[in-house]
Amino acid sequence: MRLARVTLIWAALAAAVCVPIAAAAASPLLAWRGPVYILAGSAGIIALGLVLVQPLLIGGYLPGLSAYRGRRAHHWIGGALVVAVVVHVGGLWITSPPDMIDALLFTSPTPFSPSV
Amino acid sequence: MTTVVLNRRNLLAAGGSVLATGVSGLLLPARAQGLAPTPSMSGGSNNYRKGAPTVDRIGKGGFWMSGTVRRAGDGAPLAGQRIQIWAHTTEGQEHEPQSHGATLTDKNGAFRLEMPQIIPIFGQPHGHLAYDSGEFKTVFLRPVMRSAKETSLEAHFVLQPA
Repeated sequence: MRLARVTLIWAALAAAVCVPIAAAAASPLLAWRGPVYILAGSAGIIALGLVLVQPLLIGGYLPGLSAYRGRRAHHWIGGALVVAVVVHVGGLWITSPPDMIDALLFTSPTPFSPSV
Repeated sequence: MTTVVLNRRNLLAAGGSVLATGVSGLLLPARAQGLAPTPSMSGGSNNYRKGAPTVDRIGKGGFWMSGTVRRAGDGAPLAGQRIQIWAHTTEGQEHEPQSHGATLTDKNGAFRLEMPQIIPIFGQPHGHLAYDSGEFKTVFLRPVMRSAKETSLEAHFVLQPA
């Protein structure tokens, strides 16, 4: 019973992180995108997955990880997140500076922009 | 500079009303009195290149951008107006010269330009259109496709004197 619970938690976490990455990797739109945009977009998708892992690690919700190891992983993933955000913003800036400025100023006309 | 608040709801409402007034305006010109000018859309001027050449077709084509240009107030169709069009397509990114082109409105104030298929970029499949010829006030539009699979897009201009 406990093993099933542990397996389910880790499987659900792996799915939550990996399914969006797999979906993006399988997108037919990739054919029309440059390497910089693909790298920048992927960094964003991976970063969103890692953001989910962070509170689970520090809150001790992931079975089989000691508090110490969870905290260590949290620190390392925090560093990876900084790198991912830099790659994401930098890559999209190269793709289109005015669109990136709109995104950074929250004036981007996309549905998920907070100001619109 | 005023900030145009543009969310999906506003865009749909504005787009719908422009469409509604546009259609009724064309059918019933007498009802078009007091037609308001089209405001520029948020992000509409991104990657604009001044002076895009007038072309028969952008790249290899396959996608249709169309619309109308009318005068604010009486809604009269404006012929011979130059509309510049650009987008991220299967043949190039938004900022690249081959992604840009311009066309002129016919005697009914309508324009129609074939261009390569638009590809979503920065989260939305969208095109850019500009009126920037001086006679009327400059307007930048950024219409969004309902689906990336669509093969046409419309944008309508109501211009006011500069």
